[in-house]
Amino acid sequence: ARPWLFTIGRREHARLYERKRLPTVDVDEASVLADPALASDGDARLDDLRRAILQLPDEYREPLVMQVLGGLSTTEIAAELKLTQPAVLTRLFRARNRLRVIYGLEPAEDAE
Amino acid sequence: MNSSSECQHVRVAVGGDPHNLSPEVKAHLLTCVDCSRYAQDTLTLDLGVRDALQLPVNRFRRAAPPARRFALAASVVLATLIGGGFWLLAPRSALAGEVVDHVMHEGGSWGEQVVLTPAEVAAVLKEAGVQFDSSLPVVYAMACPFHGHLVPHLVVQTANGPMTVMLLAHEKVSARQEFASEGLEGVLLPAGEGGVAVLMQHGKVPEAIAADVVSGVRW
Repeated sequence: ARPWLFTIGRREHARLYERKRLPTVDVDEASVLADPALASDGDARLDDLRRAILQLPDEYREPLVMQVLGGLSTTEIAAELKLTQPAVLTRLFRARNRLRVIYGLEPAEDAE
Repeated sequence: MNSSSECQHVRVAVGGDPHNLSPEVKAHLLTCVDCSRYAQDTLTLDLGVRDALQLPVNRFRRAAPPARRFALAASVVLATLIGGGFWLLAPRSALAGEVVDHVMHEGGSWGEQVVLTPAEVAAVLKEAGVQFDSSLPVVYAMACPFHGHLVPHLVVQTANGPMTVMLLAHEKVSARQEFASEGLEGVLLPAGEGGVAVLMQHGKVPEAIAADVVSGVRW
């Protein structure tokens, strides 16, 4: 049921943004303005990480959020995003590799 | 595969799905300190990612403006009224339609001329578990299945012509309802815990006959 709910959530979310012209704020500006959506709980590293996640390209951020927050398997993500499983694994690896730097960790070699 | 390329392969696998590693990758992690640390760091990073993404929803909730709350309340009231109206009206209309359909399926009953004996009528009433005392001559009597119960389907002769009477012990009829459909005119009447349907082919069912039928019914 989880992938099914995820699909509904994604489509409804997309539909919402199709209908509405929502005011947008640049991520950096929003952070400076202390937008509640980006406000940390006093953890600077988490704040940096959150900003880094938001700045990831969609192709990397989306599978990462689906895996870490949604708990979807790579097979489910591949089906949802209409990708092959190896492509999903590569995107997830690259997403994490980019975040490792922000998190103060050494990145792995990547032939990107 | 040399050690360096194996480590790279393992790190790609760990970076892709750190919680679902193949036996080969797990075996490598047991022997390679650097990759093991890499895997541990990746799990820590995932915890950070999860914490970063789990924003409290109530931060984004804004109280609905009063006008919107009023509109919402009005919508609920309207929906309740419409839904309640359908609930109250639909069953009765549906019942009348089903009675007409049933009578149309037994159209031959209108042509019966021979008056049945009281014993024949009593047998049908007994089969349906209903008592009906009326002076009207009965020319057709059947215990018909209707809504999962056997109901007496009678045709009585009157000065106004033949009339169909259906004694609906299990149908709650809360108010008198006249109807016309398929060339028939009829009336549904409350009768104790159940209801009675009286139909005729030409013209409205006379009030006196409808009243006579209702007064003769005992469930």
